[in-house]
Amino acid sequence: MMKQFPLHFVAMLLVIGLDRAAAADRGLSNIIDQSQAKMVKIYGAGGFRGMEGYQSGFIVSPEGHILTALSYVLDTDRVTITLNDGRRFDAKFLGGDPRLEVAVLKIDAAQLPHFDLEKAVALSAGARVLALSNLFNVAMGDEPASVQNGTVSVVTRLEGRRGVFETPYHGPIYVLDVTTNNPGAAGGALINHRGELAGILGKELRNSLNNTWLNYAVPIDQVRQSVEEIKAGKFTSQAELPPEKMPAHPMDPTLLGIVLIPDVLERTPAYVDQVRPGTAASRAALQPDDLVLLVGNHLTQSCKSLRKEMEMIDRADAVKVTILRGQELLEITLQAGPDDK
Amino acid sequence: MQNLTMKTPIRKPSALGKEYERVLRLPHSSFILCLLAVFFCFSLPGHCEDLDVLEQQALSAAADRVAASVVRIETIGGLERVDKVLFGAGPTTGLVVDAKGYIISSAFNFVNKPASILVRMPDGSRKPAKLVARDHSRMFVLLKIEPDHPLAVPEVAPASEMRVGQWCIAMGRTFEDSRPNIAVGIVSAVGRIWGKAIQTDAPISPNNYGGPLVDIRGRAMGLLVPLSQQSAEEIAGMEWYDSGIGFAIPLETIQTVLPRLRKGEDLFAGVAGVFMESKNLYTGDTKLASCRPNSPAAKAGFKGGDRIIEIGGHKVNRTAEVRQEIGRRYAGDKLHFVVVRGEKRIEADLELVAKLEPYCHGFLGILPNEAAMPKAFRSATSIPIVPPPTPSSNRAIRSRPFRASLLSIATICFAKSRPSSRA
Amino acid sequence: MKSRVYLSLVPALVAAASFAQAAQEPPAEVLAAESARIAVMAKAKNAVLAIFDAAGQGGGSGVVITADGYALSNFHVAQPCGNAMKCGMADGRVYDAVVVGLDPTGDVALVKVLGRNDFPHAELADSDQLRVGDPVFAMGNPFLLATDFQPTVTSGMISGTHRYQFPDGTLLEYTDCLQTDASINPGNSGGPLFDSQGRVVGINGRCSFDKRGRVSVDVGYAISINQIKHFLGYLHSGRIVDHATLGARVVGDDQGRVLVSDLLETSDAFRRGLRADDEIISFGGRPISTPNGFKNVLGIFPKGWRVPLTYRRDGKRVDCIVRLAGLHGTEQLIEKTLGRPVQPGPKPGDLPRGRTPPKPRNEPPKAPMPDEVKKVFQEKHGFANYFFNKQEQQRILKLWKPPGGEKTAHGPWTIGSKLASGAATRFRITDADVVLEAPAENSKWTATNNFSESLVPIGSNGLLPALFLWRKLAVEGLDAFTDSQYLGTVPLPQQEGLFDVLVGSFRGVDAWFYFDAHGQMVAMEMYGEEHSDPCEIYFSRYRDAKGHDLPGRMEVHAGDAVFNIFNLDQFDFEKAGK
Repeated sequence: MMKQFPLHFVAMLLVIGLDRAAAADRGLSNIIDQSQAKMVKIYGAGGFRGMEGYQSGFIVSPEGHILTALSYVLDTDRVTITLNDGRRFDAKFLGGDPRLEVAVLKIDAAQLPHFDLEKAVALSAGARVLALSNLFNVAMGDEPASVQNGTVSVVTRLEGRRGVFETPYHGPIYVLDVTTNNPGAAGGALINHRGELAGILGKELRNSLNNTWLNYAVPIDQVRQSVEEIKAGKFTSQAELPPEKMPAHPMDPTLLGIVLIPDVLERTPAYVDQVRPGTAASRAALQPDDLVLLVGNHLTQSCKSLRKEMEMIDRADAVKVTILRGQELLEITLQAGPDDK
Repeated sequence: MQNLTMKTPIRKPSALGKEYERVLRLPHSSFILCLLAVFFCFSLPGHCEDLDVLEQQALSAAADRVAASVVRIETIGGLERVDKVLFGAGPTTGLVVDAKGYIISSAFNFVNKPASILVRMPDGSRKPAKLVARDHSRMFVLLKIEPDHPLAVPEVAPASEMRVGQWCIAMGRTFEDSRPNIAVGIVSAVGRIWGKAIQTDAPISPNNYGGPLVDIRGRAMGLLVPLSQQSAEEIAGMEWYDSGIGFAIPLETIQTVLPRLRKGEDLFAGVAGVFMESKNLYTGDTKLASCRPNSPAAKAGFKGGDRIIEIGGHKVNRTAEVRQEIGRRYAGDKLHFVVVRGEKRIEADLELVAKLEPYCHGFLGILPNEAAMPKAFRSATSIPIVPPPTPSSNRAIRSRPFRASLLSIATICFAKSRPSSRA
Repeated sequence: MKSRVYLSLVPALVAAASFAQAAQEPPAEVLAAESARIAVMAKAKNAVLAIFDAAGQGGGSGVVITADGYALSNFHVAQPCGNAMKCGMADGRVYDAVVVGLDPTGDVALVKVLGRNDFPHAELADSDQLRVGDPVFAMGNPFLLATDFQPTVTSGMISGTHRYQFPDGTLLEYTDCLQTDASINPGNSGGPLFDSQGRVVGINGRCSFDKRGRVSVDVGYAISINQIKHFLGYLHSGRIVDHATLGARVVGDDQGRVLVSDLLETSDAFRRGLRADDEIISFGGRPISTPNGFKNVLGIFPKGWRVPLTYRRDGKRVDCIVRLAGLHGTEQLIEKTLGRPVQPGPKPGDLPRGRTPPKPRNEPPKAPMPDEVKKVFQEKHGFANYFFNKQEQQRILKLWKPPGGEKTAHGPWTIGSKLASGAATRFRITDADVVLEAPAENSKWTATNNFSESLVPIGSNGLLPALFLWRKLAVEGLDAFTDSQYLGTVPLPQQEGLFDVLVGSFRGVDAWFYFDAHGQMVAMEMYGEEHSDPCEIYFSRYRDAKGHDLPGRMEVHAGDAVFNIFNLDQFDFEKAGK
């Protein structure tokens, strides 16, 4: 029956359908228009090799508060702002939160279209999003910001420990499936397809776990409080970040009686070479050729990382390790005794 | 208005819904679907605004269907750098293909030759994994774990149903233990990399190499791997990560070779030993310059000057088409060739081989790499082969028997640098 | 052996059935939209080209836009390929193709794919209707992956419209271009950007690249198809076509105004009254608020077009129409076109911004030109392919039914007319002179070796020599001019659409003849002195007189002024040798 169906009729309907779909996209275009009106172009320090003198930001109050990324671009007496309508202003630096790497600027204006941070939404993985920014400084004057479409890939935390990401921020982020780690994009807005603000685009960041560039945004609920405090002039700088808490007496494998194989490779697997008698290791029946895989819940990919993980543990505490013996995974708790050397 | 649309009968599992479902599977379903789309557009105002939301939900649902089969892989030891490419120590991804613990992953994830492999299940538990076999043509590996309970296996999307422009979701498990990371795109092309791969514009990277490419119905279409049409190295194609150029090996193909891989058999790309006269891949014709002595082509009696007109039942006119036909076959595959020599038509079944006998003798078991060979020796149809570990180089590892199984992929490099005092 | 393979598959299949979550069909709307997209792409890909040089090296993309094989690509794709190229299409076949026209500044090439009259081809959209957020998809041959000529499809949305990208090196300025987040990679160059209905909205050719080198970072640029539509007639001329300049430099000020900073006194804009410090309000029909916006407009029009300009001085608005001059000197353009490779490679440590994707490295083509291409290729200085210019000349002149009929009236022409005042005038045009008899004063013009010496009557900028050339074209044809060519399509003030223009040079002057689609000459212009306004003649109220068309009205302009309007009521064509 379908074969008799006139094809051109179907094609015609199809085109009508697409027109309707296009009409729906116009809805999205309107949302984009309204959101672009809240974006600003920021010009400041930089402009030399690899250090672009521009970045993105967005307006967060009708009287001209602007949220952006805290970066070297703001490290100058004269930061200028170009609004979406082309008007230019000198901006005042109200303050920055080095922990979140966000800053608030202020321009002397009124009745500006803006994103209300109170109304910002939280996203979950799979949400469709738009990233608005002045990447590559493509837009000038009253030319609107660039818009990229994507999906929230996953909501995860930036692992600050172990230097995976070179950033002081280790909170939750939205990982995006669109390339936003472009010059000038930091400080841009992440919105959903309804035009609701969800995040601020992060600075260019490399994931040292697999040497890829990360595309991400910091959720607004992470920065909201700092922004309010900066606006109110109450923000207390936390520039001095608390160092990672190291135990006073860090653990070392030798204290447990473990002698690892000579560490000659970049990533020598943490094989046990010898177990010293009368130690925690021998009490727990650790054997030569056991491969230590985990300390606590942290993967120990090499002798180096095993030592690093153990440093996080106080000598007085028990150490839970997971080892591979043959094809078996074994969990062993090691407790250094008071007499152990 | 929105509620009205949400109540569309088509989305309810009612009898009517079932009927539609049946209709949707007809060959002409696309036309019916178009009609339906038009129908909905006209009959339900506000419908199209909801399409965005419905698509979002459908894509998330599709990813959820496969999530339980997407596992995290952790490695111990291994190189930091392979061919100037820095390797992070981060987790990678694998895909369950058998409830009994067989998992496939991208060969890229093991190119740094780790000493030990762990598979982290979606429930957080870890299992040591054995690398059972490698497919050197399609750049994936088969791992085996001993699961406590049967593993979730994804439904496989038939290759025949794949269309350019359809939705696809690339999945990895590199950021979170508890849930996979997804990236959305469309199918960019099929039959890429000499007929071996689906191409997608979803961002593919070390974040999802080894994970599945999933269709909107939540069926696994393929396994994400870096590939390049110009190189057969595991890291080739990695330079295109996240650039909208990504590849997946169709799962249907993988299923057909799983039995061989399960037996521990490594698979290699098949080579015929034909050298084309034209250096021009895209526009050159199919005239042979020569055949490598003792190669399948030479054994079949093919000679320089012959013109290939048919391979495996497909007509070939261009050099690229010859490569397209041979490139997706494995060593050991039989392939029917038709060549013409003057007026004469010659037909032969060639059994493709993994490697050609070198003109020069291999030194210490190392085969000459094609790239290092004189240009004249290179061909469009032969592919450089990574030499398998020689018995001599494995001895050091074998001397520690309990470790040998774990180190089965830690080859020459690692064995050499292990302290000799241990031997 | 085989059966065992299948047998061992069974457990896997059983497992698949038992452990996979129950299949749930996505909503019908979602599947319908997906199917519609698949259908559009399946059709669109048939018009997409993988372009190689004659030896099959190099690489880029293109798109066929007519059934007889005219196709668009980038200049930076076509130029290195040489005059003849090979095009792979989705039908798996390789076609010969020939270069037709080149726009080195706009990075556009028109080529003709040969061998069929029923090529699948893509429709052109109106790219000015696009809005940010509109879905688009790109097709082409990135990284030369399409070894089977099935193009790579990447989808995305419009990220920006009316973007300006600075020239890279000396040429290839992207003005008023489209920005997309669909992945554009090296090899995509020259390929089409489609809207959701599969119509071409632009030609992909450039991306912003970053720290990672030449791979997409979801910031690609396409030349808008509306810009290309402006140039299409020029490109059909087989010429190396030039972009335009107003002869003015502009700067933006703090208040978002665009001011003229510098102006050539020889420019048409100067003659129309524009001066330094004037504020540009609108140009080419668009409000101007940034220098980029000004450059965008300038970039979408070819040399020689006349476009509306509105400027403000001392609070007063002035509307005018300005004639755009060429951006390059003729020889300068040719040199640049044929000279060094256009896109420089990345410098070490350089962070390239907005560079043109490179074509993969290729050697100069050595393959001989195929016979089929030879038939449609003719080399001539200043032309990409003179064959197509000749063809266009012939097409227009075949349609034109000149006054006096074909080659029957080689003798003097006598044309009687009435002015608006009712006064009668008479023109007499011969091989040696032109006489205008008017009630007030007669004028006579005699052909010398340099026509620009005597542009009479005064105030007309040379009506009489213009009419001499008009008759010359009718009687002797275009070949009688010392230098002649088909220019392309050009708009006329107050008239809809574009007109074919034939240009003939003769004894120090240039004459532009404008023809409509029916082959009627609607206007001519004669450029006498350099850097001065031409004599413009607008012919209208044509009537058919025994197989040849005679204009009933002739309006003569010089600069901003109307010289006179002649109502032509009497034609007398004498036979030659009388």
